[in-house]
Amino acid sequence: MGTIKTTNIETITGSGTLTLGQSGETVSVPSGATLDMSSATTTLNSSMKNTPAFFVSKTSSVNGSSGSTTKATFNLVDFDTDSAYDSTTNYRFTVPSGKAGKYFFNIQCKRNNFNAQRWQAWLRKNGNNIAGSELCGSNMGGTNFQTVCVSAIDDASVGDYYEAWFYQDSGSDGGPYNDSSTSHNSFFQGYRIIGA
Amino acid sequence: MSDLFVDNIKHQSSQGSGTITLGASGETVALASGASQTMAVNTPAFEAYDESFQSVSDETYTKLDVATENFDTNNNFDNSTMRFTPTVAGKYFFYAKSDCDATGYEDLRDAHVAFYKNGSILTYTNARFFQGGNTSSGGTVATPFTSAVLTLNGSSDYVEVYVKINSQDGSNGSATNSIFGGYKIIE
Repeated sequence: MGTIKTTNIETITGSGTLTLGQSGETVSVPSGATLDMSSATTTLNSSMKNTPAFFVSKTSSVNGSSGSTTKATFNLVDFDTDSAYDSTTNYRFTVPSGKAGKYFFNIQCKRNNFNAQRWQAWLRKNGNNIAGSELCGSNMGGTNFQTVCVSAIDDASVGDYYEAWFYQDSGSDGGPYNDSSTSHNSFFQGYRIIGA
Repeated sequence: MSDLFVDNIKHQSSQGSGTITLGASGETVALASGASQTMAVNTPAFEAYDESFQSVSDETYTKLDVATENFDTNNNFDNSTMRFTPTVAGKYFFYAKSDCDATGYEDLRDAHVAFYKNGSILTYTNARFFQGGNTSSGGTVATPFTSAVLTLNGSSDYVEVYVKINSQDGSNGSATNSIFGGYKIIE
């Protein structure tokens, strides 16, 4: 085993890249040592970022037929790091190539002021419900902006797609409420978690 | 380009203290492509759930029986006590929800879901129906959802999730489709 004892390592020229290790090797910092990068500019490998990440909403409410489960057509993209959310046709997040892993998803649906017995939000994976929330018996009288939320972590493979759906049985059209590009009353978001 | 073949780099004089500096301002210090190093991860992480109907008493916080693990990266979730006791200190993001119902038809007034840390309630969310009870014709169900960031010591601190219902006539109820999950935040 070879050991170098020094306090400073720089490139020969004073610029360029100083490379540690090579393919197949592990560069480690021993237990008890501190790796201090607090004053450096750090560029992380994609596997060490909470990306892909997206947040989508809409500037107006989504309407669905009473008694039917309807996709929330969120088409206002606040951010979509890997261009993985389809905001024009299918309104879905699809796991991009090389980005499989566990993802955290969250849906919030605020009811657009209509009477309904049942008000539900659903996270769907490849067309199947995997997590949902409900307010049943929610004819309140007065204003009706009750909000349902649901979150889940799911093990996602490349090509898996995720959508936000809702259900209401008010007797007329209705759905998740939104009224501007900034207030985000109803939305769909997700991101990959690291190392799980 | 110059290569240096070595297994260890240690501080010149102190070997055990001091600072070894890699690179100078303007230079880039990089790991070679294919070399591995793990810097930051959202683990420990877990998610557990229960799709059965768990009995809950009126006006009594009841621990959710989320005994089925979706995943548990560090085996920190105990599915006999329903406790998440992380072995790494830090801040954790948690989320939980449960479909709550009262036994009596149209009887649910509100439903809570709450995080307990070390046996004491910390935060909760209340899904509340119209005051005085509900008059809907199709029964009553509420899904309270809550999330929180909690600081845990990585040894003895543990987190659980509880629900509580309030029925109009004092009857008991149930919780189903319950989810409890969380992961470490990178600090």
